[in-house]
Amino acid sequence: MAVQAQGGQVLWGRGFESEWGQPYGVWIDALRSPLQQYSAPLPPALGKLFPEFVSAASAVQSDRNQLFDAIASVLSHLSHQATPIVVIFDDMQWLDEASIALLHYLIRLLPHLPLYFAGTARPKALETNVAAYQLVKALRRDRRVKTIGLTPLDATATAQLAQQLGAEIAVEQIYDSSGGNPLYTIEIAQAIASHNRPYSENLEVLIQERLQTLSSEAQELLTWMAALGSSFSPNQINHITDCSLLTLLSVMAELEQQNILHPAISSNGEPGYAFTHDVVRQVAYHRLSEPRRRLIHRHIAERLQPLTETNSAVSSDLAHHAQLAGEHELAAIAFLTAAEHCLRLFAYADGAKLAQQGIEQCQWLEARPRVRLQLRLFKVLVLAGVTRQTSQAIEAQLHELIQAANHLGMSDDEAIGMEALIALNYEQDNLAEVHQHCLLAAEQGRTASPAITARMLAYTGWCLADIGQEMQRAEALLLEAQSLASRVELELIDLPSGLGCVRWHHGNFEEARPLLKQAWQMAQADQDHWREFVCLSYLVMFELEAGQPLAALTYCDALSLASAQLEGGNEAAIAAAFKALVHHQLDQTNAQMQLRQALVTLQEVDAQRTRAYILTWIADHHLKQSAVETALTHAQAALEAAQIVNHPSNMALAWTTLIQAYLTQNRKQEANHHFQKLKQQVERHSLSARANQAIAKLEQAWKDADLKLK
Amino acid sequence: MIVDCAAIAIFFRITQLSVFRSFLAQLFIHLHMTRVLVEKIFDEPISQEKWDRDIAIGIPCHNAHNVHWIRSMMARDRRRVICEFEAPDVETVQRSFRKAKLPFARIWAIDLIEPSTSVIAQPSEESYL
Repeated sequence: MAVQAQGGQVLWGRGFESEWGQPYGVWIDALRSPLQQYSAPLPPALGKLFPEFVSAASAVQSDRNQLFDAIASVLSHLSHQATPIVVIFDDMQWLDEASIALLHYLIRLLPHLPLYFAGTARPKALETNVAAYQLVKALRRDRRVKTIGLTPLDATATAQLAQQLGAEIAVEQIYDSSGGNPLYTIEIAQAIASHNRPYSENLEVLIQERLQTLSSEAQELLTWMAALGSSFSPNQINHITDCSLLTLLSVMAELEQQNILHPAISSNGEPGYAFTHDVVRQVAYHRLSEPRRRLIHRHIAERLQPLTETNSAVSSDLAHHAQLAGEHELAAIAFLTAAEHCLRLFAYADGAKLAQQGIEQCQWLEARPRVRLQLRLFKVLVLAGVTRQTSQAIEAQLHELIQAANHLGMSDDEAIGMEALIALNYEQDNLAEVHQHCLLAAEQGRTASPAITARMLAYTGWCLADIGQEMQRAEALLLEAQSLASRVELELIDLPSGLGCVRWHHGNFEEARPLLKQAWQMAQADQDHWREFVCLSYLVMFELEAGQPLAALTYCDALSLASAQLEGGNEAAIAAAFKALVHHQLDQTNAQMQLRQALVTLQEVDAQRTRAYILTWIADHHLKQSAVETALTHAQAALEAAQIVNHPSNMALAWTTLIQAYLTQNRKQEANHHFQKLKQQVERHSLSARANQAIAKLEQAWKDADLKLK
Repeated sequence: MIVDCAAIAIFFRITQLSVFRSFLAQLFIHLHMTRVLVEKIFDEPISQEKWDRDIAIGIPCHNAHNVHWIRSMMARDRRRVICEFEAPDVETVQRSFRKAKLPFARIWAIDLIEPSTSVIAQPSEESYL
């Protein structure tokens, strides 16, 4: 309410334990309503999650990165329409891995927007959701999350709650029995207020006693609702139970009045109801005997099955009910459809989980259906990404199944098994096992796999970090790649290399150093001389900026050796220039002459990026030595070189030195002119910590010189 | 290789939207672009398929670094190619080639000299002696 009073918007979604297998379900809930009133064209990639707003056909070619960027673009647009935007997720311990990955990506990518994320979770339960737990841990480490623990209600709050429910007489008694637990308080208060009856000390029994006071129609429909899940629409109840509209309306009113249900958006996106508390649903559900539950789930599965032909998102629900009904073949087929649906949405962890569950269902089947379904389920499992450890076991099982298919004369299924094997071997880089004519098929099958996506994202993130552009996006891509790569135990040099650059950019030297060193070691192990050269050049620059020129010197010889391994290019000149700079910083003999010669060579080979970097150091050195004219000349040259290659941080560093040199000479007009250009051409939030510190120092110097900033 | 191509294409799509925000920066860069030549030498004549694959990998990476392919001049025996680019500087072109894992023999910046821009003097009598 406070957010809305400020003109902002709240987007809300909730995780439900019984609704697993719905990738991005919480995001679909949170965004469905705002998208109905969206004032701009929607990105095509959203068709994967919102086919009702964007044609699903237009999203076919999109990848996970495009889907994530599409959501980012929607939130960015919304934050310009209403400020602030607060996204709230209840029960985060029940969120799927894909939703958590998207949340993490957005937190990293959009810190500059008036966009806030809040979540609720039970601490112990959160630890069982690995993805959610890792997210909270990472945010805590970066100090980007504030945790507020909820304490039990005190006596005053309990009294207020009890009074609202009409049980003001027995407030003390309620507080003693409930111990401040809100749900317990509500149940006891309602027992006293509505029937003034003795109540059980056991919460579940308390709830059961309350449910028994409902009308017979309400109790009957409640069991179907509890079996369906935490939320449902009236249409779903009608479709499954065939009850009359009048009865349905009457029952809904009764259950709403009894605070058992409240209005909510159901899991299929329609307006509906949700249980006020999952404990109430569980009590309603477990009142049934096991055989009766099975029958109910079988009936629900039979009613859902026709719907899966037009909507594969229903398959996970069908699988759930079929499994609980003991309908193993139906469950296995539904798990397969649901797993494939997850892969199309790049929800690899959820897809793998569903595929595994499908495989387990197959153990009760006859030979032919078992072989047919397991081969397809294993193929999905492979495409969702497997570790090296599990790939051997999977390969063995695939061989067995292929042999069984061959014995049974199931040639089509045998071919699917071969495809799965090819994909598995390709993923594990066993290219010798893959015949040439199968490579294309393997490539086509690979495009959605987490390994491929991880490689793409890691490369892109590193590239951005290397160029020094869009560091927030670089970090978001790299962390997403890291999460995907860890699923399949893939080690990518782009990850420590890129993340090292990002940490370094933010001035976080303690975290950057081991990452950059790790990248160097990986390059050495791969005998990738160019990557070795790049990693070593990072380390030289890094240690100089960390104020450790001696450490930088230890990398210079290796840098020269690596550059000597590279044919055709000018890396040797760049290595020599870095070495000269380090010697210069260490005040070594002949360093100035070496540096002068190195700069001449850099100009001759047209290496402006390195030239800009080195010139900023020299300009700064001369300014500190009070050689102002020399500092001016070098700063001007550094600025020109940095502008040629459009490196914002180097531009900012060159400019600050130039402006300070002008201020030292009391050339206020020139200083001001350049300061205005700096502010026009460079965005502060994109600059490195080093460049931002230089600007802050300049602003202080400006204040000290008693000049007005325009 | 197809993976690298897709990764580079994604990179290109991301960076082209926002790599040059400032108009002034764009103008400066436009005025200071350099012509760069890259020479490639192949032990065996390069096939059209390999050439097409290298283009598919290289061009998105180059574009992302603001390196623009002007033309290539290929020897008739297909063992040697000189590619011409417009780029901020040679180091950027070099870095782009290395990232895309495209080998090259030499790389250097040039000044373009064309007949239309040169003054062609009439030869003197002495030059024929």
